[in-house]
Amino acid sequence: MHVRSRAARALLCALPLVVLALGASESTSHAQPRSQAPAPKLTKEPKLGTFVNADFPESEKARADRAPVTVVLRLDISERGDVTLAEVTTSAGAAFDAAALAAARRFVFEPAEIDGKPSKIRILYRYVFTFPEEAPKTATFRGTVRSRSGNAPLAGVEITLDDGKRAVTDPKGQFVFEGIAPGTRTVTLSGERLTPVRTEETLVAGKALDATYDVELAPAKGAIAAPSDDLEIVVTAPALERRAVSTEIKADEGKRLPGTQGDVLKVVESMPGVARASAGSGQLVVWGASPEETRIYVDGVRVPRLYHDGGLRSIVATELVESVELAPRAYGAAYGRGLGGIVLVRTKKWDETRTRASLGVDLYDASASLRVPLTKEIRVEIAGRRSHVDSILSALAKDDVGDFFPAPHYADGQARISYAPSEKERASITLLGSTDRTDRTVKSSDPLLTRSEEKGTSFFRIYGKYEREIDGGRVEVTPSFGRDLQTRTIQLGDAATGLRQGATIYATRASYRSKVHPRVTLTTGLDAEIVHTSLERNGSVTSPPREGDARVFGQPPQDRQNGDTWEVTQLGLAPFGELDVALLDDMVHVVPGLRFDPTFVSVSRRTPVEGDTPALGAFREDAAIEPRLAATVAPSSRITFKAAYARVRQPALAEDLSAVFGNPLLPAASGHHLLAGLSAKLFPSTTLETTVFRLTQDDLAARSASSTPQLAAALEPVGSGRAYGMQAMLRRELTKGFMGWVSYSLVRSERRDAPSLGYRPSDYDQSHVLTALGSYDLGHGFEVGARVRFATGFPRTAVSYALADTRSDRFEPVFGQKNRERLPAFFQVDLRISKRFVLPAGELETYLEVLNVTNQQNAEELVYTKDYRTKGTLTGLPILPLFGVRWNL
Amino acid sequence: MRRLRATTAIGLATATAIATTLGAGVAACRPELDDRTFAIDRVRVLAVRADPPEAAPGQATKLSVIVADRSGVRADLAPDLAFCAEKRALAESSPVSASCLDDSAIVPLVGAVGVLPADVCGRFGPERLPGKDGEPSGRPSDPDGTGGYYQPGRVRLAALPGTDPALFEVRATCGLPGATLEIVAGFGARYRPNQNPALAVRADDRDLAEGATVDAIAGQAFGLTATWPACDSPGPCEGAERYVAFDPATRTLVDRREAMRVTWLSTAGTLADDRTGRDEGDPEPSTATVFTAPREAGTTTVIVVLRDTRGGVDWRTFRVTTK
Repeated sequence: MHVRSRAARALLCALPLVVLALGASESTSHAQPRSQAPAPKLTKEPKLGTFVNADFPESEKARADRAPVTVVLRLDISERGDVTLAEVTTSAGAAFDAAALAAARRFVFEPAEIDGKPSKIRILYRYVFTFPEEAPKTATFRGTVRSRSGNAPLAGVEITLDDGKRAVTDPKGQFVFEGIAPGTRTVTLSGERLTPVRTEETLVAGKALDATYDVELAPAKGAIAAPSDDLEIVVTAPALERRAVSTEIKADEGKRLPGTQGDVLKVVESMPGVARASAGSGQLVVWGASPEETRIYVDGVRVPRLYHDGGLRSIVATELVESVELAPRAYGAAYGRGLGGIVLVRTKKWDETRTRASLGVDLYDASASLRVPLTKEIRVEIAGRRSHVDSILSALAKDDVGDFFPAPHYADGQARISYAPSEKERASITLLGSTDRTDRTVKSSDPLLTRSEEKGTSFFRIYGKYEREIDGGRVEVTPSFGRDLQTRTIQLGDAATGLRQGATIYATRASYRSKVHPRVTLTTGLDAEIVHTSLERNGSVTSPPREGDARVFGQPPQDRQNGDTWEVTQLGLAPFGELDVALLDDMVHVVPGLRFDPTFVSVSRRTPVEGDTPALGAFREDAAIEPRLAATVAPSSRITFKAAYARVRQPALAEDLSAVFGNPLLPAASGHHLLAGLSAKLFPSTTLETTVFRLTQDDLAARSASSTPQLAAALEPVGSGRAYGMQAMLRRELTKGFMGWVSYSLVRSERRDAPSLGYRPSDYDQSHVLTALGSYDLGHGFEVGARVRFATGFPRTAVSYALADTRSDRFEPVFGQKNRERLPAFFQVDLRISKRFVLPAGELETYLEVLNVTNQQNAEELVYTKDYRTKGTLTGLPILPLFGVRWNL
Repeated sequence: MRRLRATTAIGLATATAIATTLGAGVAACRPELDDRTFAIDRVRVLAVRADPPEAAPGQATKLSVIVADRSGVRADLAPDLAFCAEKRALAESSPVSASCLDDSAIVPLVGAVGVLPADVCGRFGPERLPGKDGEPSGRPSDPDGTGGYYQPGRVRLAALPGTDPALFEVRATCGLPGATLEIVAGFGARYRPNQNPALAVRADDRDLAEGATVDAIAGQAFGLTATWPACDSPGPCEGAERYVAFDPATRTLVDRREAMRVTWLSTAGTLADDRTGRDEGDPEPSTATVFTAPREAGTTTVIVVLRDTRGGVDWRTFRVTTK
């Protein structure tokens, strides 16, 4: 490009033309006496019709003076409009002159008219050369570093980029880098009272990125401040979004929020889209999905649960957690095999060079952690927790408390050894373990009504993680091995119901992420998992109840008994790929993804045991391509529109593949997620996010509706589900000591048990969930917080009447339409106050949380008299203060 | 450090308060519902006795029903008995098929005599019915905890059309599901069909015959004891019989003893327990409770029902005259 643009060309055409009478007029003057002929009159000026760009001389591109260059030409234009002669009248140098002449000779004009006739004419033409503008190749990165408590600017903080460039914040806490190569850059902040922390920023050529970092400093000598191992960085600049809709909470924020009792992972309960679980259930219900449809990952390794029994505590020590993220649906291609959402727990990459330790105790449990740097590159971390709430409850509460809320026994532990030879390479081996046990016995004068229940769940995972940055890309490989063990037995009189399943899991997750083009980032990888499960089950085929089963809390299981022992091997081998395409100067991101997830399921028995007949197994292969697509459009730095689609599948649960209690040939269920949303930054630290969604599910396992079901077909893949709704979240990042959010979810979750039936509310349909919570740093180590929650009650099926069963001598309920009534709405206010003290060695944090400060009598379940003629509500915990103390070194 | 010590002391005081709150408060979670089922405050079908209590397919059994209301036993209410003709689907939440409750698939019993259908072990037992039009044969029914299969039925009180029906079951002698020939043979050789138990009732130390009357003063409490014969050896017995059962989980034959349970009912006064009993590990052939006469003068009917876990039933009634 040598002449600036089409607009510039028009400008050139409008340059003053010096029109001279040539040719005919001159010859005429010689042929005719001047007095006899009137002077010719220019009745129409020539008009440039075809403009030709002059080639900008290569020899002149490097010149220092880049002011526009003008060459004035004399052009003779014929009566046809073409240029018959071109000469330079004002030179700009040989190179420019030649280029201008070459172009001008190819001009075509609308011819001039003299006395109304096309005529030759001579004009002066001014050709202007403008030096070509080079596309920007660098970016500007500037920002402010502030103190997290009080937002005071911090001077003297050193900002280092991964290319070695450094800057130091001025007294206003500001820094600036000019001429930075675009791309994703690693940014390190360090300072005298600041342990180096790192984050990533994506810089775009020709643009400036403004970032604000709120950091927490280590306490000055004699001062009261946060422990340095809690250093966190809050980036208020837009970060690269990997999922269209997700909520991520950093550990340091989450553990200070009311309702968590210092356990960061409990903050998931307060995230938008998450239903309030029944007291003591610890279930995670996201956008109306069944709890088993939401998958939990720790560092990319799937674990069977997020919370211990009762939901009192999570399974990973907060000291090891970096952040927790909930993607309710339509996540990327790296994850699958679940119809619901995903919870991603990321553990910290601990790089300190001094030993850290913690001890904590509260009403629920006691915990401890120790982190030791063995060498500069090798570090060891270990943490553990054990409950004592059962001992306290049995010592202080009335005997019948356990009839309804059995106190859990739980413990968990984590250990890790990591090796980081450089900032770009890290390897670690981690062990996670958790165990839960709950038991209770409800005695009766009738031995056949004496009920005892035992439940145990334990698991461990050992996984390696290798991360390395290679040529601008990033490789992660996470092989893992683990065991899950779950047992549950219920004995009611002489009727026993039991399920025992043990699973061995081998898995590998590998991914490579790299920029393959300045505007395209590729992520590709493999998600492989082999699960071998051995199961034993005895009892009623309808116990434990499934989603959609009409039942009453505490209802005895049916007395029909059976038993089965079977084994299931499930192999999933899913390569995946995803492209993040940045368009229109990063305004638009389109992220298409593809996951090919063939699953192979082998079941040891296709039919129930028949005498001595050898077992005939069942084998099923399900393969499907799961497309994923996410797109974001950010027309301004304040607003981002989002949309996403995902097709997902979930293999049948191993416990549903029994030839006696289920169906060994159940296929994988499938679903579609579709959502759209808007994220608006109302203020620098305040964001409003809204999302609407629609979800469908097919091939769900449902109980056979036939009175003569086929053999080994107690369950059939005839169920379907759908959910739709919206959620909104107004969130304020930690600013001036305050953080919090208000979230509201409107969800309708429905199920259909057979194609011939209509949709009904699912067991997990909680229409309205409103959560408001906040935390404020008062200074001097004091922090206060509050949480308010309102939620619609879960659906329940009404009892129409009861029949006296004269053989069992008990009343049996006859139900009305499924899930047509609801538990009363839930409302609860929780308060929290904490105080931190600096000790000669370490720091002591104390907190007091008061749950349900209004002592609201929230209904948790409907209960009936034995004859079902009178109904009451089982209420949740009354006002409950919880005191905890934690020492950190 | 002084401030720290003070805070710790506050924490301990708070912890004490927590403990108090927790101990007192959690118990408030349970609603107070009047859950006494011994009181006969409306018309109720209390028990159905089949004689014999266990029958083979095609065999007849005589059914008798005890119905009572506030006034006592209502022998005048002729019960309408019927067998259910269809098995309940797994997806059905009601205790029997809806077609039995709406009378669309029932077999009425004339003269209170029930003849078990010839295919009862297919419809409600372990035998697999042939499939329809090439479909594989169907899923067998599951047995109860004693290994038994039952023909379900319903009772209506035709004279009181507004009352809810009641359910009963007659144990059917069927084979074993999926057992080896050796086990089937062993079971056939050792299994003895159930017999109805024989109930005797004592008020304190006095044996009460059927329909006996006991005099009491208002509010007087006296012990009631239900007894049945001890069954010390295998074989037919009117007490807690020993029997052999097939365990579907281990797929072996196991020796068991019937558990016995007693239901205590009265039209007035109070009973300390609705139900008492002996589980199968407890051979004691009796169980007891305490009856407290009403404070008002009048006649109270007390009904005691004994059930064994294989479907055998017996009952006794007596009156308490309060002065």
